[in-house]
Amino acid sequence: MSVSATTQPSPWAATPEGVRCEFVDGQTAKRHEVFAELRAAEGLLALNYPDETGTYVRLAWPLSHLRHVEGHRKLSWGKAPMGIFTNAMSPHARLYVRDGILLNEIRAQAPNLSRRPPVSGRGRLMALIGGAVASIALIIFVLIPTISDQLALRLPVEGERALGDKTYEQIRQSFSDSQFLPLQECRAEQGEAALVAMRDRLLGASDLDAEAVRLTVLDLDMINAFALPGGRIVVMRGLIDAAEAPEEVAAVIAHEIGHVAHRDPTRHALRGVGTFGVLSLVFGDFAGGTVVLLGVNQLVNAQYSQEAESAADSYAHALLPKAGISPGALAPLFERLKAEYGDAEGLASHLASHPKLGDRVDRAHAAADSFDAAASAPVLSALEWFRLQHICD
Amino acid sequence: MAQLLKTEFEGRLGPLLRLSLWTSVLSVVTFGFYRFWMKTRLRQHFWAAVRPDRTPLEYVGKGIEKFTGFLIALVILALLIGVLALVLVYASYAMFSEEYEAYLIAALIAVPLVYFASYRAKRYVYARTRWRGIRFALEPAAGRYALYAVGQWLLTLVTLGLLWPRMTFKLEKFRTDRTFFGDQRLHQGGKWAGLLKSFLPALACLWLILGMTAYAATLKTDEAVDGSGLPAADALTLAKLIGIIAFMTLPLFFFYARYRIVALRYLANHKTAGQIGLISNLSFPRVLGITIGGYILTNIFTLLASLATGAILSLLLVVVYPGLSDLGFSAMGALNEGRLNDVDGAVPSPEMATGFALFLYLATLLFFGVFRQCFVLFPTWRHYASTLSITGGEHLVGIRQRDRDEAGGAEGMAEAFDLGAAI
Repeated sequence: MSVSATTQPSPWAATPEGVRCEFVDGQTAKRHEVFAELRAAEGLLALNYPDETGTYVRLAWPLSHLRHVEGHRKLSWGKAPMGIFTNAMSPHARLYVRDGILLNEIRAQAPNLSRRPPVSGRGRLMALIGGAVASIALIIFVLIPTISDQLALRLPVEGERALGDKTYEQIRQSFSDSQFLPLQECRAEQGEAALVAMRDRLLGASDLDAEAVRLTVLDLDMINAFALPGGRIVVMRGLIDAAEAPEEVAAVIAHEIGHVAHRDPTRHALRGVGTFGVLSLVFGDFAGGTVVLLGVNQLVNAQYSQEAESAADSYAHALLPKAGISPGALAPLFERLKAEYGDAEGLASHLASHPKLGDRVDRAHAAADSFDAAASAPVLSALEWFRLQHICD
Repeated sequence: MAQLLKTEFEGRLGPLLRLSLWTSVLSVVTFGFYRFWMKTRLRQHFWAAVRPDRTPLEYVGKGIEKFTGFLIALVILALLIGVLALVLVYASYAMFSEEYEAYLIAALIAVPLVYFASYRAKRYVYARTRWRGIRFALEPAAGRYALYAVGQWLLTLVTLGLLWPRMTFKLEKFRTDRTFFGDQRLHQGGKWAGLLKSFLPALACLWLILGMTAYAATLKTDEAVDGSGLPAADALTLAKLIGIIAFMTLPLFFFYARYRIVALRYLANHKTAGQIGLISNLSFPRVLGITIGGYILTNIFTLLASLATGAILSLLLVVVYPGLSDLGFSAMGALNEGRLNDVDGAVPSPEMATGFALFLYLATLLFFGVFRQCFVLFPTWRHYASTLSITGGEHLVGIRQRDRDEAGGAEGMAEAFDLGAAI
């Protein structure tokens, strides 16, 4: 131990040499007036103070043992700087230095002021980080999807509709230009009638209930359509504008009906609740803005799993012929989008940016091969199609 | 003679502003993971500014401790929040076609958890706080504290808020009586009834609001019974009642805020550590003034800073997507509101747009945090500190060091609930 404490039983001794500082020994809460003297030649800082009994305590702190207290390097006292030092060998002791000259001397001569104790347990930390990442990944990618799949199948229809309505309102709010008015629903009477005709045609051919699907057009310039929980299918005006025939719209809707029949949106929404809760926990965003932003984005640009997409495509390929529409109707729209925007380059359209767009076009063509063109009947009359195109007017 | 030790406060706005801006930027850049080190550095700053009898308080916690504590809590809570949120939302849609029930149940589960977490957080902070080289400590009792708090809450709810001051007092006493400075145990003296008088105005407001709400509810039931809607007179009363209720929340907040400050002062003045005591001269008007002025400043500065950020982002957008140049500084706003469809040339992809929006959102949050720190918390802290004195300073000599309390897990739980927000 390099700190030596010697007592000198003489309260009548002359005032010791050095600068007056304050000192606590880390053993009691008593603060001592201490005389500190830097003896550069001996490489130590001498500290002298009378304890409660009047006995002088002498400490010698080797300069190499002097340390800043972490995070307390730049303290000041009024306008003057103030230093708090400790000794690596007695880390609870504190020396408070307000004398500028002594402070500068110490800073100049003590070599290891900023040295920190060696970091211990780095291996444990790495293991902890690894474990946490693995657990979170397990929760997000395995546990939550498994549970939401199970729950989605058990959710009663009314509950599903309520969940869908909630998300629908959220989407209308967040895509609106105005803070107060949600995004406009397109409800021109004759256009709606055309939409209902299209829905009935498709649903009539399916094994779904006649009320299972509600179709809504939203007044937004986005080439997109998506399904929400409870059978609500939203078609953006941009999609109707981009389509050259009603069959193209019907084909997209048939695909979305496939998602509804497989309960993909419900699964997805439930999964979002769990996933984004966990994510906001990880990133410490308590205001929850990230959740809302990402959540809405995810609902609209829902990227279901490859299997779910293929299943919905297969569903559409099976449904369309029964309704007298060629499954190939899906292809021309995709091809035009691909020609215009490229395979991955994005307009705000998940139809256009959907992975393996080419594959889907090929499969649509393949499905169309077995379709008997003679069985085809226009899904809407020219007048109805014109009215649907003006549903937002 | 009893020594009276005054507390000085030695901190300036400039360095704090620099520190909190810099650490917040680091936090955003690291997707929030620097926040543990940020809070540690800010605490060091806040602690060192408080100098009872000219000796600074010291905060010796480490960011890495907070980080590891958070990781441990994260796994537990991710399970809880992820799965529970899912099940609750499912259950409440399945049974009620609504989600309020889910929130209600979640809140009920959260109450004990929040008290549990806040106790553990306090224990960690105390264990890392030193004055004159001597450690503070809080005995481990988080579980009991959570149960105790739930009991107090039940009593308070049953008495419609009458026993709220009793809860304030008992919870404070629970913690204070388990707090140590060195080897000296602290003691919370006084009686809960001592808080009652200052709570009465708030209670009166609360009961008035509750009474009127109950009355308004009966009006609504009438409507349901006869089905033909309210008589005109009743509709008018209902509208008036709603107006009065809304208006009454203002004095409720005011009196409750006053109660908080008065209670804090009372509780401080009745705390002792052996022969050592505290005297607090906390002033409610001062705290109110600081808070109102501070939030006005905070909002002004936050607005200016996010406008500046929006302008910089717009500039960036215009450089990358020249098609947007007509929009100039409003490009970011247009992007946010999705008004880019009539623009020629390349526009940002939806992912990019979401990224930009997220960045602006996080930056705004960050600025708000920084300015609130500097304009509200810091002056309040200053007022708290500089109105505090210690009596019986001569007895400090008898206080001896205590052993280190690992307080493992740090504030992990509280971190996850954002309980440590107020430093």
